[in-house]
Amino acid sequence: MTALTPSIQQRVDQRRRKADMPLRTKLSAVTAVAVLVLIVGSLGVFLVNENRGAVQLVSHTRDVQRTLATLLQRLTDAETGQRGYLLTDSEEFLAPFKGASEEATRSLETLRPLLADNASQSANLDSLSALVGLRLRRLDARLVEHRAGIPVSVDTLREGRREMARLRELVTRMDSGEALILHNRQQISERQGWITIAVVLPGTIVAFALLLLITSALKRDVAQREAAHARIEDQNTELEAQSAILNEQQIELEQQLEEQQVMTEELEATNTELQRITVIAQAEREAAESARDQYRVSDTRYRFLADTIPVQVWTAAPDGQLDFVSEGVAEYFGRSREEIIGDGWLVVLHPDDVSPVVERWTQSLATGEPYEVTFRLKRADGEFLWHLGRAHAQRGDHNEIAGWFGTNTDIDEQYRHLEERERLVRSLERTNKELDQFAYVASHDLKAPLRGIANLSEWIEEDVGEAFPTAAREKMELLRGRVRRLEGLIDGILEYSRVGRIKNAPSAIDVNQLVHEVIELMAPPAAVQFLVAEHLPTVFSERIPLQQVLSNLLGNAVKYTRRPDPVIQVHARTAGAFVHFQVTDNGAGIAPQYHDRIFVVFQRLAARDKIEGTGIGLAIVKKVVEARGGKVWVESPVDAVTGTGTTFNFTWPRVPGRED
Amino acid sequence: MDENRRLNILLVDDDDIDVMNVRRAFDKGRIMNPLFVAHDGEEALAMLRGDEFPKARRLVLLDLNMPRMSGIEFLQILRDDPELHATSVVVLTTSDDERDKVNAYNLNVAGYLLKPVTLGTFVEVMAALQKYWQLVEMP
Repeated sequence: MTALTPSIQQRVDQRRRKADMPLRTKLSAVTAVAVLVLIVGSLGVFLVNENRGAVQLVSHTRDVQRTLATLLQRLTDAETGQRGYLLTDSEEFLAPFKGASEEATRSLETLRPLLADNASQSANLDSLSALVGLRLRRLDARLVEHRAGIPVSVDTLREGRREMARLRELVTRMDSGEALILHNRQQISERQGWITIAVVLPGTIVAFALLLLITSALKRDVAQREAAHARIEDQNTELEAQSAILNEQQIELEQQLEEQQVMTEELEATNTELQRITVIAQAEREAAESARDQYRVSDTRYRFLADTIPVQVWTAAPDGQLDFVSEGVAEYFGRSREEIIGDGWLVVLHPDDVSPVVERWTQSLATGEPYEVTFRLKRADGEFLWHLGRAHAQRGDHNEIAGWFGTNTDIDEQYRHLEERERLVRSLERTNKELDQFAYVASHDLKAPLRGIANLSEWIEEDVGEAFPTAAREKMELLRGRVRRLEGLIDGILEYSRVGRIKNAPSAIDVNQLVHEVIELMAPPAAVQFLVAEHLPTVFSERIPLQQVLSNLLGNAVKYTRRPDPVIQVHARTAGAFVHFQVTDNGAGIAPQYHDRIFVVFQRLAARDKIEGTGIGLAIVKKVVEARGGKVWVESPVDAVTGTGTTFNFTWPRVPGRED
Repeated sequence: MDENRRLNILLVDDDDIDVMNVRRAFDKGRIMNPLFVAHDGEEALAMLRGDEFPKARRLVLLDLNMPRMSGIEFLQILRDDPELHATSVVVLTTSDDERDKVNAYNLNVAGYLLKPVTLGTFVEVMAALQKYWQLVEMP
């Protein structure tokens, strides 16, 4: 809530208090009316209650008068019944007499409590009771006299009349006494009624009038309050709306205030900074004055360097925007430096290189990683030359990227050389394949006629039979020997051409086991003694080529150690990434001048007629070993004393390496 | 020999000396089977489709290096032919090239024999072949 709202609330409260003042008076008036009604009601109740007592007294008086009348009537009845009996002696008159006298006695008993509260009347009743008792006794006594036959005397009759008269007089007196009491009481009752009316009626009227007044006043009040309330509601709504607007305005004001404050702070900070900078600048200017000369020298040197080295040099802002290019760049593109800086590299890139270059450059800009990519740039004459683009981020004091320093190096020549080399390698591969195919077809086609010659020579011998001269038979044998030799040569060429063509998956090879297998497969003469070192290492390699190398070397040793007790030793030990194999014989040895020659294809040291061989075995060994990065060489003589023996050495990679 | 079990052999080879070699081996091994000769794949197909060469119990001895139609080409056509695709073929060649062996076995040859240069061993090979095919049941 804003500060404005409480004052509104106060005003509303004041309004409410004004409306409350007459209401309180009215409430007092209502209380007064209630009190008045209570008083009038109570008074009325009291008066009515009083009046009811008076009415009861009136009815009491009436009861006395009625009982008195009844008493007198019963006495008369009793007299009448007695006289009837006296005259007629009929018993039927005796019954009323009896009843009447009893009733008269009961009437007296009834009167006693009724008149107990009135002293004079009680005294009268006592007299009356005595008189009635006397009269009834006299009547009874007359009846007894009559039955006894005593006639009635006149005195008795007279006395009877007198007694009755006195009785009547007494009753009349009592009756009139009661009537007086009744009259008095009726008067009192009437007065009380008037008093009641006089009190209750005006009281009620006054109370009613007051209520009417209050009601109308309240009605008016209620109407006023409702109207006031509605007005307040409207005003409230309006006030709330205004308050909301005010709120918004206040928030805006606060924001503006804050902004202003921030701006002020910034301004102050800027001012401070400006002052600081001014001071620093002053100091720097002074320092720069002295440094400028130095800088000019260094900048000039830098520019000179950038402009003279045979590389395009450029720098860019942290966002990648070019801000400097060297003279070499301008020269290459045949445009001004400003143009190049304005247009950037994209317009001079080969269209095919745009997307990879943009991708790499964007990545470097985002991460700060060094940038390196090759692309073609369009030279002034329109030719695209391959360049190696490189850029490094220059870091500021807080390791932020302050800019980029880049170079474009012309690698067109190298690139074209590389392309040429790849083309040549592909071409060579194709040629090799063709050559291989040629060797295979040639060997087949060369062997077919040889086989024919061999077959025909045999058939001629068979067909001629015993008649064939021995000398001719020997020549036939020589002919077939040459055929076999040529066939061996052809097989050797084919084998040599196949080295390295067939690739097998490498596996772990136990060299001990392999050497023994090779020896067994050769089936050497019994005289040959093999000394194989124990614990030869294990290599991870293709099996067949290693087997072929060992087989050729061991086979040569067996074939060329021309003495009765040949001893062939096999050693192998680990030497770095390779295993160094040695196959040593105790033969005649090989003169040093032939040590290279023996590995050349078709080169032989022994005459064919003495030792049959193709001159291909060692060439194959050399080719196989060197194809796997190993070396092969020969040492001879091994024995310095006798000057004999030859050791063939070769190295074999322990695990497959890069092949040349 | 039982006439019904007699094997009808078609030798497909362009080299007359090789054909002669087979004939001599047959004579030496006393193999009496009739030997029919075709000099290339096309001629062999014509004979297999014609009436001259008996239809029952056929065995083709096939050389691979031949003019006009090589042995492998001949095999491809043979295996695609609905009439002839089940014909038994044994390769008899000088080629021990791995590719030829793989190609031949891929075309369901019953065997692959290398021609030895000397006659003696060749007689043994032919005798073994003849003996083997006498035991084999054919459709």
